[in-house]
Amino acid sequence: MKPPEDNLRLEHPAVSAPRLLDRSFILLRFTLIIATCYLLIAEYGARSVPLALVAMMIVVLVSNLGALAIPAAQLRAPWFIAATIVGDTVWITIALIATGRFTSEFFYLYFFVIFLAGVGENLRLIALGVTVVCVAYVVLVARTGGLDEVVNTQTLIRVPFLFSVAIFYGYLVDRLRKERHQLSQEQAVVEGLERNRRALAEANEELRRLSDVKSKFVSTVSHELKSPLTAIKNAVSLIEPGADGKSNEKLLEMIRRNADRLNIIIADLLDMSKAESGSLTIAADTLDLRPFLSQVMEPFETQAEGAGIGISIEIKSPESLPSVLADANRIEQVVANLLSNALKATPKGGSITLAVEDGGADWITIRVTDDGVGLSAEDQTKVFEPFFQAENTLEGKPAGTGLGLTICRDLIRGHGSELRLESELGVGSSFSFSLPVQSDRARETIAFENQVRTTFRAHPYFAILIVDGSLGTSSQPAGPTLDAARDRLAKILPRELDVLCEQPAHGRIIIVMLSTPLGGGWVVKRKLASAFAPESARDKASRWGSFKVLGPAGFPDDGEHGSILIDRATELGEQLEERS
Amino acid sequence: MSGKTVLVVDDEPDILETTKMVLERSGYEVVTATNGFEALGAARICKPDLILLDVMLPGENGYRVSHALREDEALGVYERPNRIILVTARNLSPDPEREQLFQDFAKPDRVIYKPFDLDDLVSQVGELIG
Repeated sequence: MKPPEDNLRLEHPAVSAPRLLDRSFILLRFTLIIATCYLLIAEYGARSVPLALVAMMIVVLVSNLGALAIPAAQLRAPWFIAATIVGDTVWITIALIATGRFTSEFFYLYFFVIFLAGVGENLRLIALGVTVVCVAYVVLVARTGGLDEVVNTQTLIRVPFLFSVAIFYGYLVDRLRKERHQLSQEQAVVEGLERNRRALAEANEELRRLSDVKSKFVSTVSHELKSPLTAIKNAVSLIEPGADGKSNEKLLEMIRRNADRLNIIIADLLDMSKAESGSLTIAADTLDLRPFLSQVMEPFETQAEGAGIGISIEIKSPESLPSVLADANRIEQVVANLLSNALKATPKGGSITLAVEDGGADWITIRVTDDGVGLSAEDQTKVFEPFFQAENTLEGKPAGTGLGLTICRDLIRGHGSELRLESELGVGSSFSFSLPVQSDRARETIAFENQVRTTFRAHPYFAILIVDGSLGTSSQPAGPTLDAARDRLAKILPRELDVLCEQPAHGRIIIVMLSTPLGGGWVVKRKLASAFAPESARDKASRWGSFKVLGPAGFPDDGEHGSILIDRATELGEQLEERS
Repeated sequence: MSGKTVLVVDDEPDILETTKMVLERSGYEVVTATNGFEALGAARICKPDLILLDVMLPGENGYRVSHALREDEALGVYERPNRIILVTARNLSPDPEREQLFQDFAKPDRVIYKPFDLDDLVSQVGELIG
């Protein structure tokens, strides 16, 4: 199979070879040489031109003839043009000074014309300028020497000489400018095509990946939905009207159980779809953990009792457990999910603990621990992936969708924390997460966290996250975790940033912290913004439709958040490395 | 009809139970297994007349179990070829070519799709082993 780029490689239209600055300027130079020769003859008289000057003019003439043989490509080289201008200025100046009777007005006019030609924007302006200069010169001569001076040979030679010098250099500069302009335009077109090609290739790769994910999703979901449906269908066809009640009752129970399971799967799928689209909202409010947790625990207590498993709540945190900021419904979902997983993994006689601990500055940690089957190191890395189901649960086939922990992790991230797992095969598992103690700052944090989540989800191709740099720079000393974060971010940034500015492409995520070694996050943001500044509004829609700069917002400076930031930044940084 | 043994392999207890019920009502003896390894062991010990094999199994999947059974047949582990019915969800594989590839690999006698009809299942089993 062809690699995707092959399908997308665009044929660039051949860049038209610049033909503008061709040999015509060498021909034009002959007129300049002839004009100078006339000037010398007029000043000295045909027979008394010094030999040195004659030799110089012969060298210039021969060098110009030689230039005709140089390939056109080299005539366009900047070094050649520079050498021409410098060389010409030298020999013309020598010729002018050597004439001796060279008047000072003429000398200044000559340099004025050279200057005019050098800075002239186009040939027409230069021609106009030099005409004015020549007329002024004639008027000047007429005023000092009368009409006789005007019609004498010297003046008749000097005026066309000035004129040809100006036109010659004007022509050179004009062509050079036009050519450079054309070249840069062509280059911009080629670069634009290349950029689009790369963006297409990346988008194509992304689509391919999404398509694979979708295929796997469809197959897993259809299996998950069809299994209980098959059980229901089978049970229905086995129910015998009028048969003895016992067997029918068992089948009805089976139908009810599988219908419940279908219901759970569909609810999970809906949550998952909301999480994917970034619309799984967290309505955080003040929550008193003590009554809340006992209420969540209640149904599991009866279930555990039936299964012969001990279950308890332990509140280890300070006596006066402060209220936290959380979405009660969502946290109930998470805790119930964790408890239900623990029940599945714990054998008879085992125990499950729901613990509330002090989670560091302004955080309360909730931990669900079991002494059940535990997870292997390999399973631990996969446990948060959608549809993952550990195979060593006690019942053989785990009931559920394999979406529970994926959704839980998303919900906990929405609260500005992370769902953590410690587990050992045969020893047990411990899932924990933290909730912020109710405060204005916590409220801001959760709002920011949700903004980030929503943006990443809504703009999967490109997001730039700017994190407030007040962390560690204020009077509060930065914790070791934050120092490490800054160090890693700095490692990610300087190289990536330059690459990104040069070849902006889809599918990249960057984290920028204010006060980075790059001169501050806002400098970086400005740099990025100008690099991505679209040429037109339409371009913006097509190329940077998914470009977004976030922040800044309050980002608390404490260990808990620092470590999450490191994890997130490292994760993103690794993704960047993989892609590049 | 009686005396024939059917090995039913599925990791869903409810499907296993209802399938077992309906086959027993039709007079078959039913042996069950809930994963690929169990299925291979049960096939060797019980030598069933027919194997009803779900595809989505933990560990070894149904295709691989079926393939392994066919390999064992080639080695002469079984006196006669196994009758295998694969059970799968139809759109499990959105790629029909790949699905075909898997089935060529597994070489089942029949394929039925979830959710299946129990009467249809019984009649298919009947057609294969009478």
